[in-house]
Amino acid sequence: MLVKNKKFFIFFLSLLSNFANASLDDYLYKFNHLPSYSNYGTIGLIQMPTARMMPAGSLAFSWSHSDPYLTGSVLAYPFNWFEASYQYTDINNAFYSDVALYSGKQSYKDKGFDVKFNILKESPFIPETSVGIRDIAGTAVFGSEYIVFSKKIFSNLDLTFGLGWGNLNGNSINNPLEYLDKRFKARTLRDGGTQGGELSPKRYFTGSAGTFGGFEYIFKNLNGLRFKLEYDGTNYKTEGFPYGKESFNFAFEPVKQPKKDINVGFVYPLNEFVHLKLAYIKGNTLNFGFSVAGNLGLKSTKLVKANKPKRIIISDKVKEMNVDQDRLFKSALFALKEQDIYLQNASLEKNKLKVNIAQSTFQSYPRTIGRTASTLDAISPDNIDTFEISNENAGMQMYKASISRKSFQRYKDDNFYKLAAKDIDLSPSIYSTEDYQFNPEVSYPEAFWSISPDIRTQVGGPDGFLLGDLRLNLNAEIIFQKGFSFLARGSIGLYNGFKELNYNPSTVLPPVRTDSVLYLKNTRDYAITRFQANKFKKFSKNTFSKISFGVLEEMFGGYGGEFLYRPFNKNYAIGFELWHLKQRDVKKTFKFQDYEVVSGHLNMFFLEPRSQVLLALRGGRFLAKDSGINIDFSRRFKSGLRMGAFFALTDISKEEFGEGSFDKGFYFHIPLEIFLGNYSTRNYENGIRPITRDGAAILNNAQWLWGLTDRAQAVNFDRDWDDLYE
Amino acid sequence: MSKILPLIFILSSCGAIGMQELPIIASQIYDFEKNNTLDVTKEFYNTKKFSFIKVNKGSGQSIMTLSTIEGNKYTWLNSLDEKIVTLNGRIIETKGFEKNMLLTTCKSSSGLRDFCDGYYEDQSHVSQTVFFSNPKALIDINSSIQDEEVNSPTIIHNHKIKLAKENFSANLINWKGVNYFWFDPNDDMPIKTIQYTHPMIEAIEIEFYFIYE
Repeated sequence: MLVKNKKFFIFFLSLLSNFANASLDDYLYKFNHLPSYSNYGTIGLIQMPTARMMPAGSLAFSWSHSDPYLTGSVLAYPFNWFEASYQYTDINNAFYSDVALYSGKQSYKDKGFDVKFNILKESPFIPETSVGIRDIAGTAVFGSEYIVFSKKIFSNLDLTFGLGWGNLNGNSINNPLEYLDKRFKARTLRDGGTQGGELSPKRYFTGSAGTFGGFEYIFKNLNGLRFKLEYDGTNYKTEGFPYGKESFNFAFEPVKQPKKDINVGFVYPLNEFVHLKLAYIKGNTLNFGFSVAGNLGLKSTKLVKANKPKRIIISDKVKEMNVDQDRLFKSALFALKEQDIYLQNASLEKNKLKVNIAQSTFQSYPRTIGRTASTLDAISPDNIDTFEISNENAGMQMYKASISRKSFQRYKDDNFYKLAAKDIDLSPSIYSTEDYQFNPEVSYPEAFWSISPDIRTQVGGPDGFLLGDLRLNLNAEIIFQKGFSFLARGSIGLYNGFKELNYNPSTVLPPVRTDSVLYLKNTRDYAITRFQANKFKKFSKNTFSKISFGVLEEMFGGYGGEFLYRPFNKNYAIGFELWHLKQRDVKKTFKFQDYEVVSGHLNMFFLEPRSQVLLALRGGRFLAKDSGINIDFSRRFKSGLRMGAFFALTDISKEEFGEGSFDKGFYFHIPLEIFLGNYSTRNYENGIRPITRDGAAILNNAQWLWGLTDRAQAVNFDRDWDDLYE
Repeated sequence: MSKILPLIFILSSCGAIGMQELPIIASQIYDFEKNNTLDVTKEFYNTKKFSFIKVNKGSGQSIMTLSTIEGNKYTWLNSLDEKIVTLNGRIIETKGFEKNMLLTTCKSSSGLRDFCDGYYEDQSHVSQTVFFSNPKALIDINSSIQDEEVNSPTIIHNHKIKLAKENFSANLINWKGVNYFWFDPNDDMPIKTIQYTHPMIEAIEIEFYFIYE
């Protein structure tokens, strides 16, 4: 008994030990702070999931080859308790279809969404606990659910035990949930209709269950090398198309059935972000792959350090000379330009220096205010005690910040930005040249242009796994006067990889998006993507408008406009947009097809400031003349990263919509300054829609008022006041 | 349209016909933070009023200026709020970098001129305890010193100088390497060094340029 107690005591101490030596462990077990990925594509052991999570703001990509599957996964972590992943699986024991003329030897492709929720965080006596659903709204080829527990016994040993349903019931046991409700006893393939893409809540956690488990061990001083061993709970008799043609019409050979239930594998981290995976599973199959994962949501200290404001020296001399008002304005113009801030107007009212600026370098509005105030402080004579900074975008003033110079100076050296922010008075503003004494002449038209390479891709179609072309994009914006601009974008084909593209999905709706294949094929040499005139106007301090005319996106042109009411001191906005559109010809010239539509939406936005979660609702008439609502949730992180998901419900039936049943997807906007090393407002924007259909399609509106007026709401300053003095 | 690589955008170029520029007191703006490729020439050296070091930490170069001298300890600073403290050329503290260190204890087998006081005596053995930041840990390091006569690696000296090699190892975390110290045997002043300061970053290379009034 004593011996038993001793053992228990040592075990108890070991449970606590991984908290005590965490920092030394970081040196002994390199790259140990992030979990690793399974062959399946989500965080896990080899085939099995674990309860671990990446920090909120992380994005990941995982690729693995596990015969007969090639799996690519894109994962997002909008919260530290939620993993959302999109799985794309190339199933190599089945053809894309049973019509050889249609798909040739192209293998079957399966797309699915997975979710995992962390319900308990690890503590000395409680294991990390997560619940997950695989293939939540897909074909259920890989459909399964699980509850999983992970516990670090030592700092380099992580144990996992789980209970699975669906394809994770390999060692079938009675479903413990049967005791709660008899409906959990039997499992159906999926709920609802035949178009897939729908949630199947009645299926989840039903049927017989199974257990799984294993561990992950990090070798000491071996650059983070991990060894994994697991008891595989996969039911290979139900996963995929196990018996070839017997399981599925398109399948041509069976999947190798396991000789053993134990899988072993290694993970080798190349660095903090990239892991290589190698495993031997089922006693007969060798797997390999890699994963790339990182937290892109954090503020980059490197970026801050490398881009400190340019210093102004000989400040006292400048201040003396700038007692002359005209010289002060010109000096401000020059000095602000050095900080990538462009003075539009200026005025001096007694002891208040008013400036109206424009900038497109800094994502952070407090940083813009701070740099402007610092510059003005360095060049302004001592009698000026207040700076009033207004910022305009697209010719419309967005905000006005009134800053006490004394307060700004007082807190600068110690970087007490919170105290400084309290003394900054933010308010909405509206522009008038009469408000300013100094109105530097701008030589209109002002032209901005850029050239950038572009790759267009089509992934997972029946004509080939990956088809694409390489193009050169030409972008131009000409500003004719404040608030009136012309936007053009064209492209020239450099390499055409769409020769094989024949796929043209059938639809019962007007082909407002499914025809995109025709547009891809017919624009090999050149294409005009946008060619539109925009007029922006602010009617009052909180109302913004835009009217546009021309080629408005790749597939539609016409005219219309937007109106947005965005109260400055609130966290919501309401607006509407209305467009009269004609579908463009497939060669993307200035010609149009016969199809035309009046499309419009009532738009509502609500931002929860603490979590930075935005809910956007867009209800109205869509491009295919269906009516309904698009619901979009997204979260913004400190770095500017945004992750979001959307779905749309309209008045068409699932059958009319086609495969997928309804429109849905997720997206992310990654601020490019993370990679560039310089401040920039440019984003890399991409998203995943399981399938492109015509229902719930929205005009791809450039310079959308919601985005354009982001800085016209005080709540968007609060997240970044720590940038004030940077 | 799908854009699969952020690099595509990074590669993009941008030009602008911007606002009207007004020529005014051009000298008031002084950009001193963009000098990433800095060659210290005789002319550059002659323009400097204060002693400085050229620091190359892999990700970029910077010039750090001598701020204070306390015994044999020299503190060097730059405009990025980075700080290096050297003891006769040996780095004993860094601040403001991504990974920082502080030498907490040092014991040397040599007698009068020992490594812990900043001297590179041949065949001496040293044991040190270093505090690392990010992640925080105290690590014991053992090392041995050997020196040899070589040519100067910088523009300042034209006579034979000494190179000390410190073979170090921290067995606990399986970290080992060689630090190099070039110094003038006439006055024991450092000329150049290549040192590892943290197990998770590359070695730091420093060239020392002393200016005497």
